[in-house]
Amino acid sequence: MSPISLLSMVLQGESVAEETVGHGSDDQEFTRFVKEVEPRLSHALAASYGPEVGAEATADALAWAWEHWDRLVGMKHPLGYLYRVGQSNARRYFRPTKLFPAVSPESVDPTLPVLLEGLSRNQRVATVLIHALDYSEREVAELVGISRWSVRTHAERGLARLRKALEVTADA
Amino acid sequence: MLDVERQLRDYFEEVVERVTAEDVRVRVSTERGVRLPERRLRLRPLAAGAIGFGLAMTLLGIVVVTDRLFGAEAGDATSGPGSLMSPEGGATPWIVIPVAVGLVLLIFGTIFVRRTRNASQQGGTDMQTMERDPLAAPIDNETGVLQRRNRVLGWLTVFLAVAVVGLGLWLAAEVTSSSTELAPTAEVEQLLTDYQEAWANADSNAYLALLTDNFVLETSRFGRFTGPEQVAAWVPARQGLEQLGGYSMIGTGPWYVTVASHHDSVPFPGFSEGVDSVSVFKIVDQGGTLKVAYHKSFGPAFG
Repeated sequence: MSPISLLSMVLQGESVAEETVGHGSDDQEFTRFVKEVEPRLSHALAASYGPEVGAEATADALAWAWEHWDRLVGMKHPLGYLYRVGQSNARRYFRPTKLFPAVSPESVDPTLPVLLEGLSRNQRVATVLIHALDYSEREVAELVGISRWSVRTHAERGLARLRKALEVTADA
Repeated sequence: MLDVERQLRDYFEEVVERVTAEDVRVRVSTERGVRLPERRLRLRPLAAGAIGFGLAMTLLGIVVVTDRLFGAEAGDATSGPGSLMSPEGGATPWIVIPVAVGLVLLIFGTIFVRRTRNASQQGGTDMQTMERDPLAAPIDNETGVLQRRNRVLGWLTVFLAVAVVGLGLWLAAEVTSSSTELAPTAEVEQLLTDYQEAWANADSNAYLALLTDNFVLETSRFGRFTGPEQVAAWVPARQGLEQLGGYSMIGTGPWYVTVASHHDSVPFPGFSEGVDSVSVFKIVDQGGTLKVAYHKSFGPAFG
């Protein structure tokens, strides 16, 4: 039984106890899958399109995964595919005039959101995922769909630009 | 201040909204299963314009095509080119363009209105969101989610721009080709070759078979002959006739053709060694067959 048919039965208030015996693995697998991929996906899409649109795009991409679960489990790089799905959905939303909102934590320089908008999309994604969230270059390359060399270049240039603008040295 | 990596981590931990599997299930169920009460249909100005223009173009195209297809018998077979009401040639393919453009605009307008209505129906409870300063992105007050960008208008604009440019290029090509077309088509050329051959051989039957019922033969010297009977009585004796140069033609039906010829001998005093002339022909399509409707000769022997 697919997650969709299961869900529709639940929504219709039908008793599915007998039906779900031995078939709850899809649901559990999906939950595990979301826990595993959601952090990278949401951070990458937030870095690409800002947290507002990124959250909607992440939810859209994971909703697509839920609806096409059978198709997704056979993919070699499902996360990269979902990133594409999220990108496609993100383009359908109106974008805020400011992609990155100001935040209150004192540990963050107030100009950081503005500086992030000055980076290219790939630079933002690579810099955030590699330098802030400690993902490997290979993971980011698979996610974004570019070579590891390009990911490294984007991450280094993005970080260098942020450091220069914030006047923070590598030793700080 | 902390290093950049730490600041980035703190910033994104602060602003990124996390999505859980339960959020996804709720999203799927609310977007696909639960619909908000239907709002009154609002017709956007551009959609209204597209539908109105599409309807007008469609009606106009249907009227023109109908006239072309069914009004042919009532028309004049020798009327000039360029008239939409002319039956010559039947319904030409370009006439279909207004109908096609109208139908496409109609479909786009209808789809746009449907999408607008559907968009107003979708929505529902979305995943939990964090409190934050409002941003400048439009948010649907009823559903609380970001409004989706409607790309139909953009694609419609691109389509209209391409259609307008295409129509302009087509019109320009049409005007250019019709004004510079000087070489006769093979069919017209064959008709005139047969005509001159029958004339040179004094073959009345073959000659008259190439003429329309209201054919006119005219020279300044000998006057005007109308109809096959008058012309048959005037067909001259056998003579050598040599074409000088090629044909020049204008028009797309009727066709107007000029050609220079040399007559070996003409039975007129003073021209025993032959004479040159220039002839002007009008060729028409009569019931699917090309016929000569008019012939006028100029030259020293004809005036």
